[in-house]
Amino acid sequence: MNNNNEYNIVLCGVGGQGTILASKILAQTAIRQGINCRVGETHGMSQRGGSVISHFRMGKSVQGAITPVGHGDLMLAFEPVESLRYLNFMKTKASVVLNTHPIIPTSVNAGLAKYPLESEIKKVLEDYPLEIIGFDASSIAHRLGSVIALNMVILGASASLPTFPFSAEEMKKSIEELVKPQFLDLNIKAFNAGFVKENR
Amino acid sequence: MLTENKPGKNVLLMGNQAVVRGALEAGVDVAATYPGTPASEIGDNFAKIAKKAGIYFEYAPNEKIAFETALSASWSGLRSIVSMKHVGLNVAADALMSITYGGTEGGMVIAMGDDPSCFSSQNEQDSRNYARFAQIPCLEPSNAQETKEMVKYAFELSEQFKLPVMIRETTRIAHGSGNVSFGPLPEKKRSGEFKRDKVRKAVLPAHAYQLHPDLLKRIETLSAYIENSPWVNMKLKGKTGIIANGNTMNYVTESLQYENLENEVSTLHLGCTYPLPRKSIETFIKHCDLVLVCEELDPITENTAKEIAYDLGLPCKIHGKDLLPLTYEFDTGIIHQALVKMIGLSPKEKFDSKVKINPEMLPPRYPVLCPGCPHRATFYAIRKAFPKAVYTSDIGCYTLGIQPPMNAVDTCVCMGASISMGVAFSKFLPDKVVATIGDSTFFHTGIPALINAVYNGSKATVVIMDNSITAMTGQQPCPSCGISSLGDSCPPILPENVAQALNIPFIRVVDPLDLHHTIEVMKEAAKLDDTSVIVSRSICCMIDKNKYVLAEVIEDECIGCQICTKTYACPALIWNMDIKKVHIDETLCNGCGACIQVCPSKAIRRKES
Repeated sequence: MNNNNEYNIVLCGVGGQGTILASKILAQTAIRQGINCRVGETHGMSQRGGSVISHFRMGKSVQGAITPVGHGDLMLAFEPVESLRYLNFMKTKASVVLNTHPIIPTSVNAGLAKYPLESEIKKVLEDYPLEIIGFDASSIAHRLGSVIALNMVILGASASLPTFPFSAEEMKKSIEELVKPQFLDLNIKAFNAGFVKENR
Repeated sequence: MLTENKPGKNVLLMGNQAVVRGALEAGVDVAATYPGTPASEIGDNFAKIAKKAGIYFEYAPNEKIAFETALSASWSGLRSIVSMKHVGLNVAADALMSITYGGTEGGMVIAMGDDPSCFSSQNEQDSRNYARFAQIPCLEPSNAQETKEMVKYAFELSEQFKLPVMIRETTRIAHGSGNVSFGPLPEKKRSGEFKRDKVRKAVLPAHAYQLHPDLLKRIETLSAYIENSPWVNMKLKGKTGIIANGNTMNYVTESLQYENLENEVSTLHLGCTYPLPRKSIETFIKHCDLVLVCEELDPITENTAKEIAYDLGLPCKIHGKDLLPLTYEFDTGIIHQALVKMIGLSPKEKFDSKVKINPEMLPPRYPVLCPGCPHRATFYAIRKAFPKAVYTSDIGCYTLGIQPPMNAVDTCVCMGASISMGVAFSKFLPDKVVATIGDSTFFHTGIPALINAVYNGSKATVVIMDNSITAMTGQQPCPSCGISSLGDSCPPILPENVAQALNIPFIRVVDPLDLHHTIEVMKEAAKLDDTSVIVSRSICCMIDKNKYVLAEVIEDECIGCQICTKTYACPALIWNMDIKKVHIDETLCNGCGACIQVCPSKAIRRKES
């Protein structure tokens, strides 16, 4: 929490990657502890494989659903290039959990644009500066059963950060409350895999 | 969860869910909608709970019909709510403008989803103008809890003043979630009763003439009443003040908190923006000598405040759109900047970012049709059969056909305009004209335009892209899908039968995923000099994701021609620049099989299962 009594998490990626559920799980954890929070989501047009951003904001003074520019404490980047697109929301010296697995936009496939190298993306983040926790979260989810569980791997990794506002146990409780029973096992495994650094 | 009768329970609700809960706590009897972002989840949540909660719910074919359903409920003495996106009210406006003189009976709420910044809309029209135009109250919540309370209040207000009450959510409220504390759910249910009152319920010229002054009287009483409502929140402190409506107040509060100015700057938070509480505004601008009016989009409150200051000769200097933009949604930084400028503050906080990223590092990621989407196949066939045509299109997922390499959308105006404008263009231009429209949009406002094609003549080819669902807004059922608003099965209404009834000379039904046949049929239509209708039917790929066997590229047989990635461009087709071959991302592939037909060297085939 900063001196304005707020903690802002910016979740970004590509439509369909599960940023909305991830932000709901964060909010559920806050609500259970009686903490004031807001979630701002992207719906509609941008869900169709477009770039998406969600905000999770908590703390006594939080009113609006979007993080003020330059005030993000933690970024959960579900896709590498998307971390750059929303970098302006972040404070300097904030942290980013970065999934290094790219999703190539059709503009690149059709030869109309280029996708930057992982090293180039990391350099921009490092220069900002952000502290990067980068790993291939998609492959971990895929190995565990489905790339759909990517959001849980990322939440797990963020829960391992010392500055993260919730414990892993609290987060898992919310996952149990919000995830459909048939996917629960996979989701908890994915969360644990993200949490335990050796698996990354 | 929304139907739990647990007063005091604290939950996370999205604004749209809070609308539903508020209506339930008010004992709503009838809900109707046509889906539209950002208001869609209101209807979707009603659809889920309607049976359990014992309320009537319908997805109407369009907003006007939804509005009239809600109005009929009101005139039956029932409580009703109709929800739609901002542009939906353009469709329903005919009914809205006609009924305010005579007024409503049972409480009627219009829940609007406005979309500043056009996240998923064709414009950013400000619904407050409609409230003023039609003379109905407009309430604007600033968070989920307030949304729920306002909706409850709106039903009472509606019954008291015999007017439909608008709840205006913007995208950030509709799709923002926050803590909500439940209130009790009422027990009793009403039953419909029609009270005959021809003067109020039949809007003949003589009746309207007689009733207009009555409406103005009601609004006058309402203006005084609203001053003491919970939705006018004045904090008089220093001589500098800020007036803000709905969600905008959140950004104001945050800006003041960041600068530790909460105890120095006066604020007037308006949850009611029509009629505006003129007395409160007067008190506020008498107290202040410098005021900033913060409102997204149009300067409605600002103009009223200036009008009051002028009429009373008040010295207060009022700023608004001179310091704040007329376009797009606001955020804390925008309000902060205007405040800093107005009072000449040296700010403690900064809301800009030093980040400068080379645009080349940000490849555009436009929204695209899903992998396996049948619309992509239809557009591919259209471009093969009608390589040079004028392509009129409509509102829905298929508007995405505008993007390269499809480039199969030249115009998109409003619901149903693909057919009306396609029909007209075919008479004004020497070109071939192809109109593309989805099934839900066809039922919404496409049918009268197709009638016009027959009655007044046309040479256009109308392609009805029937994926049997209202896909873009979240897969709501529509008349063609064989599923009712409440999820029961019912006979589907087929667009080809409508065309048949109109005696359209050329009607064909194709499966777009059979590309070869679809192209052939379209070429046939291209030869005609008369109206043709092609129903291109394949169910939305989001509905049944696992119906096909996935495709794969046989690497040795791929010659790297990129015809698949450059002309079909399904997101599951990935070009590997290093080995100059294409592969299929099996986490994305839906197995529709269209790319198999596109590949000239037959390198793509079904995976062996």
